[in-house]
Amino acid sequence: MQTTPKSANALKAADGGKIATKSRGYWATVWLSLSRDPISIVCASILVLLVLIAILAPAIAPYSPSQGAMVDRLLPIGSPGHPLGTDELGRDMLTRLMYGGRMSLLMGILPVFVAFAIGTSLGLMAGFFGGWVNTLVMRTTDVFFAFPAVLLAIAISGALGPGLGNSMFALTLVFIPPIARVAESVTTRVRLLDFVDAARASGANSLTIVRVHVFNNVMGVVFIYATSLVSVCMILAAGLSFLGLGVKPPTAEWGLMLNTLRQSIYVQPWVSVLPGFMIFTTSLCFNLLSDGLRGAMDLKR
Amino acid sequence: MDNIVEVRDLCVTFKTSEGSVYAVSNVNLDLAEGKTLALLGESGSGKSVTMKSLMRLHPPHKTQITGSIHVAGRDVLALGNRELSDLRGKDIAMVFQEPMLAFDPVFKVGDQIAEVVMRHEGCSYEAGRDRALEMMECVHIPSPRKRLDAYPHEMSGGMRQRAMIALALACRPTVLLADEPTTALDATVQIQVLLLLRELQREFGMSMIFVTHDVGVAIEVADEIAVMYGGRIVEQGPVDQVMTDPWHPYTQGLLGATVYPNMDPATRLVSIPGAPPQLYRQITECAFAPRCPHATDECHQPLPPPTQTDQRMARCIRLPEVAGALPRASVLPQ
Amino acid sequence: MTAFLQVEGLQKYFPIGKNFLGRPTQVVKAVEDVSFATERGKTLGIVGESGCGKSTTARLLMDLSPPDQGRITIDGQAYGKGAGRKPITALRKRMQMVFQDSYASLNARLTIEESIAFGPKINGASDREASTKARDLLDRVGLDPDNFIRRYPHELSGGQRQRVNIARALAIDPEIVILDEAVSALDKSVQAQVLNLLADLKAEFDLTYLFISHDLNVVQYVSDDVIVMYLGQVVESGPAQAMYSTPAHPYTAALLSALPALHPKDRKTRAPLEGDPPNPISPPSGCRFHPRCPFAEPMCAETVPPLADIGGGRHVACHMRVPGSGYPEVRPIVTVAPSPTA
Repeated sequence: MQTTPKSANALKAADGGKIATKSRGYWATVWLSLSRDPISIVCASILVLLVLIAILAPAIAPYSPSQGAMVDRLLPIGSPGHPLGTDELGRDMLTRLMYGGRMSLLMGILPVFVAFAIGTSLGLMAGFFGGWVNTLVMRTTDVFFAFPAVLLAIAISGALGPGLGNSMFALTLVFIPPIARVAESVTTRVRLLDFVDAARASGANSLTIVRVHVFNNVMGVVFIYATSLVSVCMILAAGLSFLGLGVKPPTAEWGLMLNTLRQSIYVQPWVSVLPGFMIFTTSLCFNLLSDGLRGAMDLKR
Repeated sequence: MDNIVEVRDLCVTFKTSEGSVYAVSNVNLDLAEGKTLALLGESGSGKSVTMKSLMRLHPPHKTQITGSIHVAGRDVLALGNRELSDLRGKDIAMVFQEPMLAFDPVFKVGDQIAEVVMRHEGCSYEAGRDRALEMMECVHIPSPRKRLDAYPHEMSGGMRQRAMIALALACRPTVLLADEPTTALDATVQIQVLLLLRELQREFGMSMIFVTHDVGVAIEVADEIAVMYGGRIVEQGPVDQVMTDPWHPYTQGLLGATVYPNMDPATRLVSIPGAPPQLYRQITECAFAPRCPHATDECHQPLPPPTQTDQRMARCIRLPEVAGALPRASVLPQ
Repeated sequence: MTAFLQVEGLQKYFPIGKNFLGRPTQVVKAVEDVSFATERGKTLGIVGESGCGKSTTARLLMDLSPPDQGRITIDGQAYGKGAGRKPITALRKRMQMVFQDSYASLNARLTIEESIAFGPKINGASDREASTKARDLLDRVGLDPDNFIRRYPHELSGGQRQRVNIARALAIDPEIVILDEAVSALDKSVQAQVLNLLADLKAEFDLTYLFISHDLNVVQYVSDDVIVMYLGQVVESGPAQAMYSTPAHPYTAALLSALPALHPKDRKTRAPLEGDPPNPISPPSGCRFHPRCPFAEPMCAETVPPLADIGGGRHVACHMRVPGSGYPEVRPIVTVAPSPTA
């Protein structure tokens, strides 16, 4: 039902300058922008590699992670058969770092992921409905903010007792409040934008507005924030294991390995810092990637 | 030299992650002492960029400026950082659209004015305060002595604008740059500020460069007008001549698109089709040609030097035919 | 006979600051007792300076913030809460709004098509119908559907985005469109395109416009009737041409003579009003304009002037204009004599 004069009108109004730009989807644009950032690409590659190694550890690891030989204790880096040396019980470091990655990455990512889901929902609700809902949610999160994150994680997992499940639960609880708070502040900002009013004016109910208009605008920002939390979470998880509140020996986990190798720091310093180096690299990569993502997702007008 | 501001062949290029932006190309400006020049143009026309170049306010490592700028006999592009900060505020001052950006919210207005005077003239705090009071009286702020001790947020919009003018004029600059200073103001306040600027200019004998997108505002303050489009000045001349007899098709279109009082609702506005150009490439041909009703093939060739008379200039190769071709019999009611 | 769109006694106070009991300590009287009416197919202009309540009035009409009081009727049918009134959702099918900020009023994560089709979809259209509607409307607002439908707002210029916003407002076939400073942020050349487009659409879809703007010239050009607001109240209303040629309220006169000149020889020599508009938190007593009014008399500070009928469909809230007030029928109001260029 397009008539000719109107189409002519359409051609007239379409301006010359921008017409050549081919339209891309939002995520395609973000991806393009991200792929042009060398730092993000390097970090993402390292992380993908680490995850792959962790997943494939049983298949590619040269030794068993729990079996050691007392004669081969604390071999230096570069020893024949043990390229990264051995630990204080004579277990192969390379193998243990591969297996340790499974635990560490799991404990770094899963709690943040769960906290992301719960925290975003809480923040969205608080931000969009405001009023007493907001007061209830935000004041509750304030209670959690009264304690430093480390202390809170130690207190909760201490109360629940050591173990993988308990420490992950503790970490999840620690990360819900900050994520909820970020989600709330972004939602409040988005809610006041004109397009939300326009959607309300066209007769949409609150649920539809949140689903179509608010959620995807809030998601991105919170997602960036959450990726930056993964590094914090990994360090906290390592800390919990270090204190004996996380996984138990002989399970390989970077934080726990750092703890047990602590006594050997004067004997084999380079081997002893290897788990710490892994924690450092992984969290740095997550942080830099999150920075790159922030840049890429910030579309200019 | 009787020109207080002389700009020759000014080009300003910004380096961005998406490539170069040729914001200003080959701009020439002359401003005589005590006169007002209005830079008229739409957003992205390069009018603000041109004006900020006079004070070298662009971030140096991202901006490339070529050509020459002389203000009060000094070569602005050759100045070192120290000389530059002496120049800014003393010889050449600026007022902005948003006065809250010019003032620090945590200091009293009077002290901020006094501080500028102390820095440039090396006088005592008391002398600076005295000058501040004098300036507040000059800009007609009611009960000025009391307002010296006010914080910026305690003032109303119009009063803040006056205080910013007092700040800019505190060291008696020879050139005042005004970047859309009345755009954010209400109609009844806008006219007050325009009249104030005109009055102060006469009183202090300043020259003024006034950036605006509003034809009416330009007419109220300017002696000379320079119409900018796509980073170039397309037409320049005395304000009464340019506004009553525009030569360049863009100026004609701009005036045709402006709604003036008592227009017959039945007449359609003469709109310019399309949108202003993107400046990601150096445009050597006429930037307006794609939207111009008079454009021919030769308009897409590189531009020859502009047509120049004693008082007026226009950058259009089809000028003789186009100059009389007004969209309406008379653009402005006489 | 009632008018097509009739608004009576619209009122909104915004509480600011709360004491420890949660009670507001102060209120902003944003809109107070605003009434107006307009006929089908006409354009009603609303002018005033910032803080006069013109945008709040628009938001109250759409129930984007609920009015404290007031009655809105279209074709004699009342909308809102209360007995005998249809719900606000029904009103929103008949009245739509275009906002000033073309970027903020589009969801940056949605394509143009999704933005326009959103309204029809939630009002029960199928995906296919909504998509067809979006394409058709894009064409009508002068944007080539094939070229624009998959784009995102940041890929468009300001004028194009505002065309999309207009298409979005028209997507659920409203009878009334509120244009809240819809062309104010656009460059002049683009503004002219959009104003022409609005005139075409009005004829094509038989629309009624509420045109809210601070630009007096544009309001005069597009409006049949105009209301002038000052600090939340209507000070004058009536047919546009009559009001602009002989403004009845001193504030209207001041607004008109504050317009910049169109020729250097007509430059203003003095400002019609001194000072800024007062703060709506504590508006002046009596006539709210009296502290700035050049003709104010003692009674203006005490008594609120009613909106009096002065004939010719015009109403004005000024003591001097109330018939039988003893003031001369036509009193010289602020005029600024043209002077030779200074």
